[in-house]
Amino acid sequence: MEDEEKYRKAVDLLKGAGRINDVRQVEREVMSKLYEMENRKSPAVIIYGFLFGWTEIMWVRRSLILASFVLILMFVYQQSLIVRQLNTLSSHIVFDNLRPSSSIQTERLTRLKLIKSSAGRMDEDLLTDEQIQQMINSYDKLRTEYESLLKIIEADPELKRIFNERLSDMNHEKVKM
Amino acid sequence: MIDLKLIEQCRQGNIESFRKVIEASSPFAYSVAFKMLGDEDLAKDVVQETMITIWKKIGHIRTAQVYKTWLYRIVVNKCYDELRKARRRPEVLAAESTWVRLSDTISENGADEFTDSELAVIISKLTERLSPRQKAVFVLSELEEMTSDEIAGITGMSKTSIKANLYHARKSFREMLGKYL
Repeated sequence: MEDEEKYRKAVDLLKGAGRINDVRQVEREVMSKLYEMENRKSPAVIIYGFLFGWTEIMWVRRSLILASFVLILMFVYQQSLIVRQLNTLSSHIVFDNLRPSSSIQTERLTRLKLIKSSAGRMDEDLLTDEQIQQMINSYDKLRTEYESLLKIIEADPELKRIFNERLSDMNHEKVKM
Repeated sequence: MIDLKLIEQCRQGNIESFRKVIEASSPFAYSVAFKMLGDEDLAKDVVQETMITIWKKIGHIRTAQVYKTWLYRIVVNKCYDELRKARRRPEVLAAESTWVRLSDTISENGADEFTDSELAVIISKLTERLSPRQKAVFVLSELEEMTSDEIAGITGMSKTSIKANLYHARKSFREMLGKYL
């Protein structure tokens, strides 16, 4: 047989190849793939599901609602407790352990006013503003006078010696007593 | 076959119209894919992928005339992809009896029926030396009886290139026939 004839016959035979047996099956498979593609989740949905998917579980939701109610009640209780404590504290005396200092007058005035306001809560108006101011003025006057006196004594060694001796004698008499 | 009304309905998302498109298009697509790939399963996969591509991109089709060329172009391109992957697949061997029966059928003008899997192996072995482009030209020209204009529209090759590829494909096919028969 000629090569060309063999070729022609082979080609003719192969022309009929590749007939689809079941078009419906192809149709079903394509439709199924399309449906699958339509329902395929996007990466954002997958990540959201992974992170927050548990919130969709009913018992987790109910537990969280219950827990949030408990926390709110605890918060309200704590707040009321704090308010009550503050009310109690505000009715108490403030003790200010002041050390003697050479601070400026306004600071002393503030501290004394604080002591006065605490005393006021005891319903005993011990000092008036004028009395406090008078006391501070006397203190400042006394301090100024003593400072001048100390400077004079420090400047004169003879005078310092007399004072020291006198102080020593006084201390000695205190010990005896 | 496919008219513009059907394409328009598919474009609007009508599934029933798309079923009709699959019904009308898949035999052509399968025929080309089967002959190019020489593998039933791969050909079915190509048809499925082609139909999905059609569903996604049918909006680009403006006239019914270009539909068939477009369909074949998708099939051929998907076959190219499969042929590239097929290089890594193990070789399929045809049974000796298949070649004997083929020889008898050709020499005696007999009408022996071959199964699809037998035909797949015969095509695969007889075209195994062809490049993807040669296979495409050979299948479209010799087995699907398309004109060079139609092949140029599908493959994007020039007529000269088609002629050259077809010449080499025929030569190689004859040599393979001589080898096996």
